[in-house]
Amino acid sequence: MLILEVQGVTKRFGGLTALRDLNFSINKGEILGLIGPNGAGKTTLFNVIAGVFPLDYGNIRFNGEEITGLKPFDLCSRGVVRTFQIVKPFLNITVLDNLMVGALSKEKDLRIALKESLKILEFVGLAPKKNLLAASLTLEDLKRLEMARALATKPRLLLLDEVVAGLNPKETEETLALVRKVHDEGVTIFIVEHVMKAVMSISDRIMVLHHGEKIAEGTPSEIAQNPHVIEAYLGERYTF
Amino acid sequence: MERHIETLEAIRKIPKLKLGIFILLLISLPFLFPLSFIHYIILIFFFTALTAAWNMISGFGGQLSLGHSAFFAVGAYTSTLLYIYFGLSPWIGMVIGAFLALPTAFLIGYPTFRLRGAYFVLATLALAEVIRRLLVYFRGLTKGSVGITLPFTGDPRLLQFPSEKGYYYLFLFLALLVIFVGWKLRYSRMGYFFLAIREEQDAAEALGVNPKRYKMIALLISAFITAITGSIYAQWACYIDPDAVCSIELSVQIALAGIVGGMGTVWGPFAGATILVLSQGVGLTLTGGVVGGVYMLYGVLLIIAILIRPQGVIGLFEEAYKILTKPLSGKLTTHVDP
Repeated sequence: MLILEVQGVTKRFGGLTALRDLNFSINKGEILGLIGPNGAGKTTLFNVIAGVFPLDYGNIRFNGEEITGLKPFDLCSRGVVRTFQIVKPFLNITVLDNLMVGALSKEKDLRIALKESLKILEFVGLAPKKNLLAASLTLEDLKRLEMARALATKPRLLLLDEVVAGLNPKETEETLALVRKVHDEGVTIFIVEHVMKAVMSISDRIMVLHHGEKIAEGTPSEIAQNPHVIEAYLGERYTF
Repeated sequence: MERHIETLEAIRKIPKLKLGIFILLLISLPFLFPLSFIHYIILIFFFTALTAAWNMISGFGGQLSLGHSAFFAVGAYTSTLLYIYFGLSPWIGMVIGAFLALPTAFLIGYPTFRLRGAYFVLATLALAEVIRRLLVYFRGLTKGSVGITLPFTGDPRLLQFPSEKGYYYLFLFLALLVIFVGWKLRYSRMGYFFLAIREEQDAAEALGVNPKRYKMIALLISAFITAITGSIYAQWACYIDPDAVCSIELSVQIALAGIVGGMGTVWGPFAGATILVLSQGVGLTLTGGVVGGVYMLYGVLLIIAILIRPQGVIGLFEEAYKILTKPLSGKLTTHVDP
């Protein structure tokens, strides 16, 4: 079953076409990876789906319902939530209060929201740091917080924008394990990632963007051997 | 184990004993001190109420207002004009004024809350100036710059009291009520949304918070309370004119008390109002009433506050209190795990 359908999406910034007639869909329960060289339009695609930018042509459906042009907060209430490539924590409030904001978007009762927030902090491993100000966290923890906060809104489709960029190998491994854990909870995941090892190992399917167009789509091993992808992005035959 | 539940509960639960003693002390003040002193305390309560209302949009919501005197003037003039021309009790006029402040606030909130940056603060400045000019311009109705002198009746049915003590308790009640509303708001679902918008609007929006909507709600509540304070002020001072109730000076005083006291804190407005009134007194003495002398002191105060204590002086009291009461529970919450 399809959870997200993107049809004929075009986005221009002045004379630059960031996304050109893009068609793809995401199956319920899968992890779809999105790769492509810098400037390929990956983050633009995220912003278009997440309602940050209006699109010029095309439409987007979520669970069969039209969501084109909806604002981020409307999308959140329907279950589409994104994280930011450059983390955007609420710096001057505690980690727990960060989660509370997410939890309260669906839950009106403060006590229940608190319980849920604590549960998610436990789940992502931030529970010991719940009383710290977000400003005092490391980058890895901030990325975790970013994800945890999104999880607190009970998403059905989670858009992850470069969750392991800037992390060392150990932190990357831990974060990927967390993404898998989230996926095991039944959340569909659409992940943008530059770190090949990460995206190849975690995705069920991968889509490759280049100059705003889809140049390939398939399983990680198909993508790794696709000559177009090698030419445009990978540079050499990728082995994993 | 669940330390935050404790702290959240502690914040949500009023520290009844301490607060009770504090309020009892405030209630007994008029019997302990001369009236001239009481007058200053009334001023503190007055600014506490205004600053606590301002704090809802500017402190919790992070949208700086430098034009709160606009709402204050709407309240003061509405109740006063209705009383002067129609003999309507200011108690009722106060409510009408408060409701009139809502469309006034909407007028600047609607266009500016969809934008980012300095637009809101500019609009608040402009709004106050526009309202001041209108009050001067329609002198047939408002008596212009001459101002309106209200008859002093001392009748509680007309929101007046025979002695300063009556006003003391009225403003005490008002200040505590507004602080209470601020506290309720801060630890509510909406309060979390206000903070989220203040901290990082994009993230708040991605997490389901509609920024325009919640900024507007914060502004409306704030304007409503400010207008109520304006009506009460008019019946206390028995005189209003555009420069007194709709001046940049008043707007700046409110913002100053808010910033110095601690933006986005529950008790910060009280601390800020106290410092404001004290500095006003000190400033008058120091400068011997030279025009602009007090403003200079405000400026110095603001610079000191922003340089040394940008989070507000109220935290100093809290820290001192913690140090005094919990010498054993050594762990600070700001401890960073490696």
